[in-house]
Amino acid sequence: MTIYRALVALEKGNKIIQAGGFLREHEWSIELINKLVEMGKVSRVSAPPLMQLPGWKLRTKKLERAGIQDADQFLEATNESLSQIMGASIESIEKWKSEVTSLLTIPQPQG
Amino acid sequence: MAQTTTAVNACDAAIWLDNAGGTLKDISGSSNNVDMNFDIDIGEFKSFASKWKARITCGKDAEFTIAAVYSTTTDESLDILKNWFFAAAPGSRTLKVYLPDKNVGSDVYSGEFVLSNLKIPADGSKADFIMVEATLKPDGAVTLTTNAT
Repeated sequence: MTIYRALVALEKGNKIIQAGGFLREHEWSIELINKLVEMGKVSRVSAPPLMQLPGWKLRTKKLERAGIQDADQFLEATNESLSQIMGASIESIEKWKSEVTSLLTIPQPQG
Repeated sequence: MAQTTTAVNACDAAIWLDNAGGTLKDISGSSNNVDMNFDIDIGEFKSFASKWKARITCGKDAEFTIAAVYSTTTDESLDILKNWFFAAAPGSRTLKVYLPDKNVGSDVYSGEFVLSNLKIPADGSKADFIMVEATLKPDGAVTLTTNAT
């Protein structure tokens, strides 16, 4: 499971991923990702350990018991499995995923 | 500096435009030219201290001109453009230009546009196809993305 960073704004159907945002391997075909990597439009992200994210120490302890240590593993796991592991609601999981996504996204200037 | 190996032409460019129903239609088969002009508003001044002018930038704007073949098929360029002009409320529509083609990795220039001018020249002395010219101006930002579909 790997996540990739968009180095330029990408358009996939009606969805636009701004430069600095990221894409998850399971949402894109590997052929498409390889082609974009080859063209220098996306690059693989070395996701940080969850422990290093601000405010994630306690959550990480629970996740580590299930073998989830890095941000990419957390984002790739299903909401249902994370809900069970962490004993939290699906809404909380979605909120935390959104938080991790924001931490990994590089803000781009408007223009 | 080595000579580029990635120069492209516009032969396989693709142009997609909303029809009256708001569905993007490929009008590449009934158009053969699109000019995309981008502008930045510039303010300038000169002081006593320098002979050279200083400039600052402000707003951005664009104007796209499409050359369309006068044809009679539904949802081809002219059909969409003339229905757009003659609609009771023309409004804005989505336009996408793919360069050099519509494959993965191509540039996509995209935005919401209003139809500013539609020029239909009808010259009875010429055997050539009638080429219609439409001028579109953006309603909001024009975006540049990379096609990933």
